[in-house]
Amino acid sequence: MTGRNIYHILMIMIAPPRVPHIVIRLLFSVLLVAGITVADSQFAAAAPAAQRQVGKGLDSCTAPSLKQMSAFWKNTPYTYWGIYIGGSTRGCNQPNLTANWVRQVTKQGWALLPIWVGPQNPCQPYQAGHFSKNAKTAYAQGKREAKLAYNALHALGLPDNSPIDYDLEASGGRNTAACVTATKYFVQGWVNQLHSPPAQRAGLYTSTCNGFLDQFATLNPDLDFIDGASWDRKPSTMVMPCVSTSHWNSHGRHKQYLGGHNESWNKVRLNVDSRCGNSFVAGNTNFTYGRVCA
Amino acid sequence: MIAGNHVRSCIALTGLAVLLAACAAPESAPSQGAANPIVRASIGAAALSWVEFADGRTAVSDDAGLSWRALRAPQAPASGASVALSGHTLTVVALSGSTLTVQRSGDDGVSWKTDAHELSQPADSANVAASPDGRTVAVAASLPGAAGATDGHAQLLVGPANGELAERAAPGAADIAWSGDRLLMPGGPLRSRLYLSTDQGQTWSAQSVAGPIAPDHDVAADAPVFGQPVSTGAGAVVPVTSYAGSQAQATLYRTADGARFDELGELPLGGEVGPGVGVTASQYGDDGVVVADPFSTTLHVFTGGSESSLAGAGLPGPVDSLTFQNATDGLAQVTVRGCTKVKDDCIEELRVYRTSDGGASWERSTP
Repeated sequence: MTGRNIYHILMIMIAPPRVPHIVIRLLFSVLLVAGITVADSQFAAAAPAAQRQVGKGLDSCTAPSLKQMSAFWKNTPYTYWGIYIGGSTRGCNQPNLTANWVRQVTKQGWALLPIWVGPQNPCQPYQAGHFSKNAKTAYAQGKREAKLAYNALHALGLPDNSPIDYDLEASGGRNTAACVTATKYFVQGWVNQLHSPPAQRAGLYTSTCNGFLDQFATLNPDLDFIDGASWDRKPSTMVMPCVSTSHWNSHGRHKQYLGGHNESWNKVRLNVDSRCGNSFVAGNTNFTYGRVCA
Repeated sequence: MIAGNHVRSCIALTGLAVLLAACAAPESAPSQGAANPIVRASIGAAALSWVEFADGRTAVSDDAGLSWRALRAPQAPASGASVALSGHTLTVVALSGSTLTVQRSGDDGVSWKTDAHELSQPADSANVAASPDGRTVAVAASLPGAAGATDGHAQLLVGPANGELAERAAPGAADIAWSGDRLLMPGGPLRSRLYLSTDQGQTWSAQSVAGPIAPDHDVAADAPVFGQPVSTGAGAVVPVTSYAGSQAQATLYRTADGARFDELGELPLGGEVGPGVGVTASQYGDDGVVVADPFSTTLHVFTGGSESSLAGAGLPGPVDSLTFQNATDGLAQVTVRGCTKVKDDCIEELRVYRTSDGGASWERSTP
């Protein structure tokens, strides 16, 4: 058994609290007794401190200015912001999104949800960039995107153990079995690579129904969190059509519950999507506001 | 210093208390107040205005709030501009999961004919637009799950006002409008593109209006933004938000054919307007267009090459959407938002206001 395999076992065990911590410690002890050594630093990377938040958030195609972020923080319901950190099919340019911006908005109080918009489901008709319908190739492409996303995360100065959310846009309903299979392999590659040290929390944004989100529950290792798009205006992460309530139900859900609309706070008007989170975020995490999001 | 802070805190708290009290104050009107608040509404120029109350009742108005009547369609209207009148046919679009139902009544809501269409996925809002001649309707359902790349997709149905609707391609979002017998649809990231169809949605082409056509990804944050087009008797007016440094302005472009545009007027937008923010506009009388200021209650009216401003007295804040029956009677939707210093103690209330003096003064509408 290689150290990497041990690491994966630990990741699976340590990932959101399905298993009591004592069991993890026991497993680790058994492995040590068996003469298998795992460097402390590697263990630390494999088990980043949980960073979860329950609360309302927003995302915007392009990151707002610091002044605009400040206006949307003061006396508003919002505690986290989805930021599109890169990818070949990302919709908007990001003139504001720098490491300094991340530092400053974190000081303002914000938590962040990094989102990566790379190649899309090959049955998705809208974008030019798709991953392969060949499952093996799609898996490799998923891993490649995870590496690129990690580099972008690192460049922004976000913590290595941050969550990263892969944005798979709605396919428009033209899914074939080959596209579904390829997409699952692609996402498995995404998850596996993000779980490599220094590990990030792997997430997936897609339409709860058309993106067949529930089917990703069979991945092994599993997604750390889902980010379901269901614009039903219901700010509850447990209300997601087409997703079983038994899946990702332990602090493993974000939800985008309303699509693009204009909203004004403190004399600033932005076009935003509305979100609810009960899962991982980067940055400030000491909020449990927005109880309706739970 | 401490006293000064205390005073400022008191002023702030008093202001918030007034705001919250205003939101909770009982209304003389029986159906728009704390006891029976509006939970959904669609007030706009593209379709008929309607409101739904917490008790489930729905009311519709085809004269900008001068009169309201109960809407008793088999299914409640979908969120969005989902009720339209074409000739004598009232069309109400409903959504239930991935089923879109087009409900039509030719006898003022006494009897209904329904046609169900299966969408590719559950949709949560839909818009319906009747062509100016009343013969054709276009229905666009907004599909969730397009945020970071394309910023919104729609599933489109087009067909005779009283006949079978056919599915058509939809390159953009669901904010559909007619310009004569042609269809306009904003779309793309940051609503940076305007698409035109001359064949009732079978084919589409991006149009150059305020500069080059935006790319389909990696769109500049200061790209011009296409707001909801306003159908007029002579074609359509498209409001476009553009940016120069930190200053934003709205420019109104008039078109007869959806392909050639000339400038009707422009308006500097005060305050801080972020990327992708379209402005709210409506037809105003026979040849005018009214634009709502995004940060105040002021309305700007453009008629015959001149611009005038109206204070919007009685409105509690900037208008989200509005419609005018003529240059006198209008209806506006305002969302009142506020929080205490605790982030989970916030309110959001939809309100509907009516004017009978062209927009100078407003009062709560009583559907």
